[in-house]
Amino acid sequence: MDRRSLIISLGLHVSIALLALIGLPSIKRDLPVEQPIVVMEIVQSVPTTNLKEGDKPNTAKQEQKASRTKKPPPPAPPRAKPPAPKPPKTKPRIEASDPEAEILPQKVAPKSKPKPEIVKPPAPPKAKPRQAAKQKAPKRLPQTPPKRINKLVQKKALQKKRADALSGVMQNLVKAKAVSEDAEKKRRQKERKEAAEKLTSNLTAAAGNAIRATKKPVIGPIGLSEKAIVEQHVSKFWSPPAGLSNDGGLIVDIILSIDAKGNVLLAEVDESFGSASNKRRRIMVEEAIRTIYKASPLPLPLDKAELWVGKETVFKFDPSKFVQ
Amino acid sequence: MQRLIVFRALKFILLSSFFLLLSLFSTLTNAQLQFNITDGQVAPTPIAIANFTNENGEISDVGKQIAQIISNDLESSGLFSPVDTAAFIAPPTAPAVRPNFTNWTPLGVKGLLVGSAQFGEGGKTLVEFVLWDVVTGKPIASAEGEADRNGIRRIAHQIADFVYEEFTGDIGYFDTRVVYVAESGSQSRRLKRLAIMDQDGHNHQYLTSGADLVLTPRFSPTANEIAYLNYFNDEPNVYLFEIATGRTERLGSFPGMTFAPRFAPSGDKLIMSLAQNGMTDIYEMDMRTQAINRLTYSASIDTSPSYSPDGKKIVFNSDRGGSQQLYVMDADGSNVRRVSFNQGRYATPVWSPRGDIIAFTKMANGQFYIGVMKVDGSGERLLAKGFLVEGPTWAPNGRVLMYFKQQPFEADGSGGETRVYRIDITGFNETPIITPSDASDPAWSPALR
Repeated sequence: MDRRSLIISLGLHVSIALLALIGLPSIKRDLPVEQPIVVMEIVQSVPTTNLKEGDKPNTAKQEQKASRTKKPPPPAPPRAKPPAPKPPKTKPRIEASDPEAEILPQKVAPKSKPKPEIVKPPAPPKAKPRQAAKQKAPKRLPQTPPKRINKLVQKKALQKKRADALSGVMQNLVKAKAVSEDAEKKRRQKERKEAAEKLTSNLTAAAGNAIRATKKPVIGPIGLSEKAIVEQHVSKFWSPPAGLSNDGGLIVDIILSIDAKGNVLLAEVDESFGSASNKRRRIMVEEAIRTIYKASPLPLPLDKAELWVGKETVFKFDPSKFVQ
Repeated sequence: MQRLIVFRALKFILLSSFFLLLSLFSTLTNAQLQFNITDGQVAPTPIAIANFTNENGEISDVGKQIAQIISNDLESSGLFSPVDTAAFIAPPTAPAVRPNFTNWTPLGVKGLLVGSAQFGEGGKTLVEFVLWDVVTGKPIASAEGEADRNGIRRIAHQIADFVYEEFTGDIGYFDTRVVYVAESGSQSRRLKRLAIMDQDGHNHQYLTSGADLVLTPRFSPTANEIAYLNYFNDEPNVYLFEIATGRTERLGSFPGMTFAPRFAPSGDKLIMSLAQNGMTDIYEMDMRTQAINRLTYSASIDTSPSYSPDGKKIVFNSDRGGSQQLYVMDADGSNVRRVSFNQGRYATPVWSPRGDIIAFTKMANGQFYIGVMKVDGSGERLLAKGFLVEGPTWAPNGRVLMYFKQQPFEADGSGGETRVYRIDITGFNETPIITPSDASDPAWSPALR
């Protein structure tokens, strides 16, 4: 009994598997190859496009944009604006402290705010760095016990000396660091600009195709109203011979090849539904073919062209209403 | 265990149904587009008939005449609409030259007939033509023939038949003749003669002198003879008239009166009514031996018999039921059954050459009608009516009827003109046939080819 049920079960499962293989043709297909992940930087401001679906990108405009972006700095984002007025203040400081600082770009100055605190400024501006140092010092002072003030003073003096000795080294380091950081930032900005430009150009170029690509799978079958429009259009051109007698074989199937614009490329009778040897039938066939060519182009929904392009379309002409 | 088997079986059925539905769905989504055209335009076929050219490619008088006859024939059928030659952009020069269809497409024509008529040896005219499909640009048909000077009209009718057949699928009826009774003189001294003409009224010819009164002429299947009723010495009898020689002959010699003759489709028999001993019945006659055979036995009047196209049945009218009605019987006189049941009286039934309908004369509500009905009596349609309309006769293709119509008389005795008319079985295109005098009792010949 168990063996029997096992055999039945196996048989049923095998048949299900077979049905699945036959009924679902997609099951045989290979899975699509996974594409490598492409990491992209997020660009905050991307120029908008007026291109419509299918439009070609206007390269002239891109060239103009490119030329604009090369000479002046690109339109800075709103966050970058506030530092703009600061450079006049920092410039004199840098000039006064170190002539090498001239190499640094103006933009770097605002970001390197803490650096002037370490750099030895000339007398009048000295107070500011000290104040700035004092602002940081209070955090450390409470850690030292008040009883050891003398020792502290000595230590402070020592630290001062060390700091003075180190200050030159640090200054150079800071300068080098600032230069290297600025260069890095400049490089990154340049890369971002380039990436943004590439992205915008790619987006504008591929906009139409991208939109179309997303629309493709939406195409459905030809609707009843669309079908009725075509049938009514063809009916206007069809005048079957008057006074037809009901001797059978008068229904004619015409097979068409139609291009994407609805033009009839070829019309021929489907002989599998009756021979054209009968004279009345032959005349019906000739009239149907004439009708199709006269009705070309057919008012088909052109956005669904893939439903008929490269495929056979059948027009069935039934003169039953005209038979006496 | 059984439950388990049942459960698995159910599971299998459900799954297989699911997969089958899936496959069906995928098949449907890949199905080809199909459109159904069931409505169309009922309109005459637009066609261009070019004037026929001579050997120099020029339009000749004969060429013009031929084109005009063809054009008139096709237009008179009501199924064609020939385009005026003045509208032609570039008239064709010869049938051998392929037309430039861009010159014909704007005219909206479906067909273009191009032909030539050239004088040959012995006074013959050589005629050839090609019928083109303007839409597809392909030749539909072509033919050639020759005719003497008197045969121009006939060859033109034959070309018209050719075109008619190619566009309708039915045989043409233009190369046919009509025999009828030509009437003249006052009502008190009416002269009735046999006359014959082409279906369009041309080539008119009187066959008898009018010395005897004649009625109900009928063509033989070969169209070489005419059977008719002739009052010779005031004795009505069926006679036979040979068209080629003009010779006449009485059919049989019986006591009593014979009338309403009609040939069998095979031509070897003829049926008619014989009034004898106060009874009028239907008899058939062997045309070789002139022996007669009685088909009906009734005390009433049985008359106007007409064979079905296959010769197996006969329709006639009889008052055996109390009023004049139509009956159908087998060719041997058996299996008689009434087929007309509507209000009014019915007479002169004629079986269509197609075999599917019967034409008749109907009298109801003080009016006469020409109508048709199916052979079982259903589907009655009245096509024409008038003070007196009578005697329908079929064109060989069974699509057109001819009959005669008499106008009412005025108080002063005037009026009463009688004309032969033609009408399509759709009830449209009623057209009078021009005759030299009053005309009645028409009979359409079979196709002459």
